[in-house]
This record gives sequence, C-alpha cells and structure tokens, in this order.
Amino acid sequence: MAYKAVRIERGRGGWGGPLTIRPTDEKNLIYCVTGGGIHPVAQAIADATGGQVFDGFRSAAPEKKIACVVIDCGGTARIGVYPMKRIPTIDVKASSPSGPLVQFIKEDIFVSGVKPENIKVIE
Amino acid sequence: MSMGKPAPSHPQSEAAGASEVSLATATVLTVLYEARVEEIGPMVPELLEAGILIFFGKQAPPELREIAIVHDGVTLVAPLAPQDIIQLGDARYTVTGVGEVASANFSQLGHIVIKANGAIEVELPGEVSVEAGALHLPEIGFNLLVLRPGQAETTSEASSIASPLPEALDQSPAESLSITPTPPQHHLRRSLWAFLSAWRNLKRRATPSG
Repeated sequence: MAYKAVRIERGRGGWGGPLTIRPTDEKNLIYCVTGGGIHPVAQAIADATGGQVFDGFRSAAPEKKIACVVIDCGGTARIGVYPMKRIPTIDVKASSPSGPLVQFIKEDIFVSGVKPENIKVIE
Repeated sequence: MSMGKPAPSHPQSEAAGASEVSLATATVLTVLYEARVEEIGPMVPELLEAGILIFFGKQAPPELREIAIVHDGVTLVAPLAPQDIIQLGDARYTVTGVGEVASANFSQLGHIVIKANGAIEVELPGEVSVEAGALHLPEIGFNLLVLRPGQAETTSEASSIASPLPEALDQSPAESLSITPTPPQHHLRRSLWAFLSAWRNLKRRATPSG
C-alpha cells in the first residue's frame, strides 16, 4: 500500500516538532489514546497518510505497529510514556514538557497544541 | 511490592463509614467513586518517591499500565472538588486543588494523577493535589474511594449539591450513606460551606502532620 508522509507542526502555544510521519506496511497504526474515542487530529493524520486509526482504550495493539500516537495529556502520564519509548507523540493539548518522565520529551519525538490545520501532506 | 505501612492521616476505618461523627456536628460521607485496585505497574514505586500516584481504569493499554495503578472503577458521580477525601486503603487524603481536566479524565478513563503537594492551584490540568505529606501505597486489592463530606441533612442525590456534570460523566445517583429529605438548595449550599470550613479547621487541629 502506498502511504503518504505528513509534516506535523506545533500549534498555537504548543511545543516541539515538527514531526514527519510516514506509515509503512509494518508501522501503519495511528494510535489514539485520548479520552472519548478517536480524536479528529488522529483521524486527520490517518486520512492524510493512509494509515489506520486505532483507539488504544478500546483494544490492544503491538507497539511495533504504531507509526505515531495522539494524546490529550494533562501533563504527567501519557506525555512522558510514549516519548520514553521513542514513539512519535502528537499532543492535541498545548502542553510543554512536564511530569516525572520529562527528560524523555524531545523536539524530535514530541509536538503539542496540534490541530488538523497543523498537519500538512509532504512528498 | 509492599510500600510499607500506611500512616493513616485519619484513624477512622472504611468499615465504619456508614456515618462519621465529627467533633462538632454529625457528618455524612457521600461516595462519589468506588473502585478496587487490580494491578500496580512496575514504575509506580519510582513515581511514589516523587510524590505522584497515577491511576488508570481497566481499559488502559499496556504501556500506560506500566506507570499506573489500575483499578476497576467506572462511575464518577460528581466532579471532584477541594475538601473531597481520597481514600487509598485505610489512608485518607484531603483534596486541596483540582485540575480543569481531572474530573473528565477520571470519569472517562479512570485516570487521575494525585500529587501530595498541598497545592490549591494545581501545576498541571490533569492533576489533583492533596494535602502535603507522604503518600502510602497499600497492597494490591485495596480500595480507591472518593468521598464528599456533608451535613447530616445532605440527601442521597449528590448531584443536587454538585456543579453541573460535563457530558462525559455518568448521571447515576450517589451511593449516599444516609437518606434524608432535601432542604432548599440555597440553605444547603450555605450551610454546607459553613460546615466544610468548620470541619476543615477541626481536622487541622485534630490531625497529626505528615
């Protein structure tokens, strides 16, 4: 399957990035762990790239299949866990690095304040 | 994974909680949330040393379970508020501050982050601060409760004294520990506020520090 790459930039008040996300056959999941189901930003990334959006609170997925993760973290738990695992992390809230795992949150792996307009297809 | 003995900040036991008698007036604790802990992630002790406890409900994926205490709670009856009591096993902690997304996270995902820093203005929007001091982690199987102190006239409908619930919260009625008629709401709010202030002052005098 042909996937497209997107460039995800920080939104207003956000931090980090930009991230380039291109799913592959092995890593094709746009993994969403926000409250309330699939977030529009996760859906927008999936629509733009051809990746498959996936709700991490409804069922399990192997980490190795995850292309990127979308969170809406209030600043302590999710914001650190995924950068710690070096999974590209997109936070829809305008969070800055914080919490006990703060040392893992780097600009090349984390971007925040993201809205759908911050997602641009590149080739 | 024993974290040592809990130092009860309140000597009352959970079993006696049908109604609790304060030093000044009769009080009732309304249960806003009740859960049993099923799993404690391997990173929890490290976070405990940093004064933080992270909780998630059973639907949490494996990577979040590593850093969290996983429980079977489902329903939050009313948004969290200062002066609510968080009970972990036998130890009780009084809430001092509630982040703006904390109640929604707790209701939707069973996710709550507790920091024992006594903050009234929390540092991060997902946090709930409790009075400063040590947090203690009992063994797996302990109960997680959120309790709201109120006057003896408080009704079984906790939502009658709570602010309107966000859409995500379950509207089921509180498991109150006493059932009495509802007084007029404005009298209830005024007397509840007066009681909470008095109760807080009494508790400060009666409770040992730490």
